[in-house]
Amino acid sequence: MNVQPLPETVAATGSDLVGRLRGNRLVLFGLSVSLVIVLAGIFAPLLVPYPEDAGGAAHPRDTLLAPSSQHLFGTDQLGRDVFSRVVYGARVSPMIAFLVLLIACLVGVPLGLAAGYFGGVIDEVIMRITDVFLAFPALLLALALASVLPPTIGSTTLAIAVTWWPWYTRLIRGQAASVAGRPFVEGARASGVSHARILFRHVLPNSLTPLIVQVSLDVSAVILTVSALSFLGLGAQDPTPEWGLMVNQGQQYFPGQWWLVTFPGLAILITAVAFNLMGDGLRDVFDPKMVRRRGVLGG
Amino acid sequence: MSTEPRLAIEGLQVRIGGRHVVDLAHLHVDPGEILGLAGESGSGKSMTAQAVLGLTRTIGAAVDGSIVFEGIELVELDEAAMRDIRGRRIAMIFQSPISSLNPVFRVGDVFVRALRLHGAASKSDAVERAKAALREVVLSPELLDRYPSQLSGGQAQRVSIAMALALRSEVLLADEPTSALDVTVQAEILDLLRSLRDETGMSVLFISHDLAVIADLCERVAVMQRGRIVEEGIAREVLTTPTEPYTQELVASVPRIGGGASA
Repeated sequence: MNVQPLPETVAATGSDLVGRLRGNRLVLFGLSVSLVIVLAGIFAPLLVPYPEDAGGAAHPRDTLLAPSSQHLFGTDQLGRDVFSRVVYGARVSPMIAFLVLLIACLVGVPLGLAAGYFGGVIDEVIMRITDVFLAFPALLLALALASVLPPTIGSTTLAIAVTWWPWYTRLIRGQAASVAGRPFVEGARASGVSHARILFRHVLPNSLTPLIVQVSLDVSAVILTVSALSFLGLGAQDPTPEWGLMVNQGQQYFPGQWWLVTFPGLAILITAVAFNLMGDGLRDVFDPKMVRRRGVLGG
Repeated sequence: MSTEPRLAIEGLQVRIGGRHVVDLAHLHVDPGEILGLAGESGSGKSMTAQAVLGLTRTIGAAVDGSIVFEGIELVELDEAAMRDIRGRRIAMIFQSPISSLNPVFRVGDVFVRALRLHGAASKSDAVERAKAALREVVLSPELLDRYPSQLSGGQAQRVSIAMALALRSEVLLADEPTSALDVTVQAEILDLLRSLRDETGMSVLFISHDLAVIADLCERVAVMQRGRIVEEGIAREVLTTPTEPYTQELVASVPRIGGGASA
């Protein structure tokens, strides 16, 4: 039987954080891959052989070419280089994910703070509204909204954000309510600090850790949702090099021209897994309880 | 008493959901006086202190009666005016000194922000005042760079007291300030409170269930039971020869080493 070494430290101080991150190879892998994806998106014009293929270009004589040294991932039904489009796709989905999460946080966090800190009627009103949103399955609600709104990336972002914020309201509310009961909040009140200042300077910083973890885990979920909506024709529209859309358009050529579906599909898979591993790692790093439990279980 | 009391409470009633948690006929603290407020848990001691600062409103309690501080009626005061009094003119310190400081800020940040909030001209002015206040409570100014978790309980309580001091508070509401500290540190804090009172003329409302501490520190004591004051008088007299049955019980419940006299 193998004896697993117990984690040496529990407290998450600065240098310790780095040490714990370094100790976990999967997290490090997730972090590096995520970074590569983001950088690929940023530097896409420098990386790809045919930048114009990411847009509306068409090469009728080069349609549906198999992968070769000229076209690493082959070409699509319009003769566009799939490799160029997949790399450019790293700009679309992660960008939407970023915007969705930003909007969801901007809406969800203040509401959750207010609900948890003030309690009473304010809490009831805010939480019943979020309950209404949570009553619908997220993907279904996003689908319904996206089908009503014009099919643009902006609509997709909005549709997903609308389904996303209530989760953050719930998460932050629970945190804020527990922080609000801690003595230093009473102390701040007793020394003349206003409610607004207590909320944002005292309650928020002490409630952030689970939010950071949840957001990092949600990046992959949003990317999957974006791809799902685009796959169903409700998200990005043609020349946009969105991975889900590419899979949708390529499926009619599968399995004969397998590269049309496979490479964007792999891009979705790898991106989702990478961001998820990163989120998992952040949770382990930030949550000493998890580390302790893993230590006890020996794995 | 020849002077006006600094803090006078008349007919104070605090109700939470129809239940009277405080029903105080009269209580006053004179300038430079340390008044002890004794009683068991749940007798309304802390609630009285919170009512003075208007903190009971937040938890949905109804407050009636009169609390006059230096000619200002606190019960009717609006929130903005109350905020100006809280911390600056009437300060409060708590039972668990470390957890009453926000763990994510350095002591200096909390200190400077409190001073800025209550009228320090600039950040450097606030830092200077903070350092001076720490020296007065016999702490090193270096503690300003520490996080609350890096302080001992006694140090953290001194920091809280220093904050009241830096703001030149006229009244200090001390809610069980030494109950979480060990006996030697407790004695140091009591000495500190006494010497500060002597130097600054600060009034202290000292809330404690520890009768020995009250007998040691306070001139007068008021004993609370179920929201009411059942006995009040010179601390040593009340606590050595209590007349009310509740006070007698309280005094008898303190275990004595060797004596075994406990009821």
